[in-house]
Amino acid sequence: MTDRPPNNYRDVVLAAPVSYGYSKQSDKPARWFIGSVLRELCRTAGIDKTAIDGAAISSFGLAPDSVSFLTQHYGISLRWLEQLPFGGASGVIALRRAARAVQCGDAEIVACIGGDSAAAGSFRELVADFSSFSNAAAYPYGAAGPNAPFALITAAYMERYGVTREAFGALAVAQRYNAQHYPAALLGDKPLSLDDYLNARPIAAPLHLFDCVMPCAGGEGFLVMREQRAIELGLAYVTIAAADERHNAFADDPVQLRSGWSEFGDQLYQRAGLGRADIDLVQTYDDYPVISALQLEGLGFFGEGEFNQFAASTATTFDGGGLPHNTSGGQLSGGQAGSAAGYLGVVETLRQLTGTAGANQVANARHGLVSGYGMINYDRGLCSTACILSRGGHHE
Amino acid sequence: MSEFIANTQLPLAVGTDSGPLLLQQCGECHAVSYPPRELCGHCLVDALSWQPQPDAGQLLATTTLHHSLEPALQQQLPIVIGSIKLAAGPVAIAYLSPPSAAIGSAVTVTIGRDSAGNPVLQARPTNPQEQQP
Ligand SMILES: [Zn+2]
Repeated sequence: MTDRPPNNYRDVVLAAPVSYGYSKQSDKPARWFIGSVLRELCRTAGIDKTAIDGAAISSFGLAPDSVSFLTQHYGISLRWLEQLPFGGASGVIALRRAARAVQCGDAEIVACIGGDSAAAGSFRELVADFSSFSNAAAYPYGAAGPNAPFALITAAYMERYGVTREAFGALAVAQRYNAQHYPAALLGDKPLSLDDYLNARPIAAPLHLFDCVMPCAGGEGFLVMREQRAIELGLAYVTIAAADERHNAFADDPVQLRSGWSEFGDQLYQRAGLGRADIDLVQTYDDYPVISALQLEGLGFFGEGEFNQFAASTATTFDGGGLPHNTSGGQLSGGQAGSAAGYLGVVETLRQLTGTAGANQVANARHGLVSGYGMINYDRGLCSTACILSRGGHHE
Repeated sequence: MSEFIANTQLPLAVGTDSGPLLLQQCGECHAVSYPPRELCGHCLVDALSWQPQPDAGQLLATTTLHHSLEPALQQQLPIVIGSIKLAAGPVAIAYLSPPSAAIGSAVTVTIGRDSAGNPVLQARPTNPQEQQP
């Protein structure tokens, strides 16, 4: 792989964070969630839908449609369109693709949207036929869906480094606290103590109930445009200090105890001109606490195998003065709305850095790191991403 | 009770309940590929065929499943499965029986049938004294 760094993202910004329609079940199709986010993006930015000339969209539930069909559903004409099937890595990848399109003049305003529904039984249908490798070599072994491979990763991580359930629990409990300050979080009305976490029933040991996300319906989105355009529209915005992605990194590792973050992490900070101490908040893709731990470790927030110490010594609540993490509760406390979950971290960071987060606002947040992880094909997630976002100029 | 049909693609003779470990091997570069695929995962040549492999492996991790999405498997819960680094090269997920094997211990892998008759990988501890109490 080349050592040549990618071009920077100068002049490109993100604006108009939208989270919409979270519910535990829904009979509406994914199209409804994506279209609703599109409408709310326009409303938030104060623009007509005709101003949007590009879109990057992710959903597990579009079939038989593709995103090209959505243009007719929503009555929009575009000159740039992407369908990004990267699950929990989709948000950062959408940001990267859209930023280049705007930077190169292929589009002026790109709507980046993840949305999915949650009809009864739809989760089983999704995981029972998720990928050819999973169908042949993972799902047949107990039909536990993603719980099985992630339980195996969790067991290996605990064995290798002596990581305790208490350490994972610390993340989960802090996220629940954050969710109690974010009204749209579906589990925000239920307090969670470390004892609750530790005494929960086993699902796929060592995974227990509060290690597993609740599938739900919802949508997330943001706009990508030139900085000048955001200023003209009077929008608060963030800039992209650096971003990167990997697919099938460290393919020869027998168990996934690291991924692309270990490969590009140092360069990410270098290109951003920032150190880890400059990061005011982090959003990881938390389909399971172990995956958040792998992201935090790979991105240098603690040394290899030192998760117990990190969890014991670092407050990860939004107002704890440590390292605010998954400040809206993440998926573990907010629900996993299919592909929208891959956009959640970007959208929440956008709210935080533009000072529009509400009761869970991190004080004086200037730089946020968003990490993504997606697409468990068989025994591991194949996509790993991260970006560093910085508070833009148009801000009090 | 609905049937559970799992297309593992593993070769196991009709009418037999177990057989030796066969995996796809490349006739060109001899690399072993798993999960099943159409082209060699190493050299990308269309030269894969199912060939006998050493049945040895090392247990990487185990999990005890208390929840299954398939009604046909739910009555067998809890189910213990493990991930195994095969001597042949790839990592495989397999049923683990007896279930009490320590991470890092040696396992022997064969092809058997699950309760619904699907051919599946099954692993057992190679040295029973390494089993946990
Ligand atoms: Zn080959």
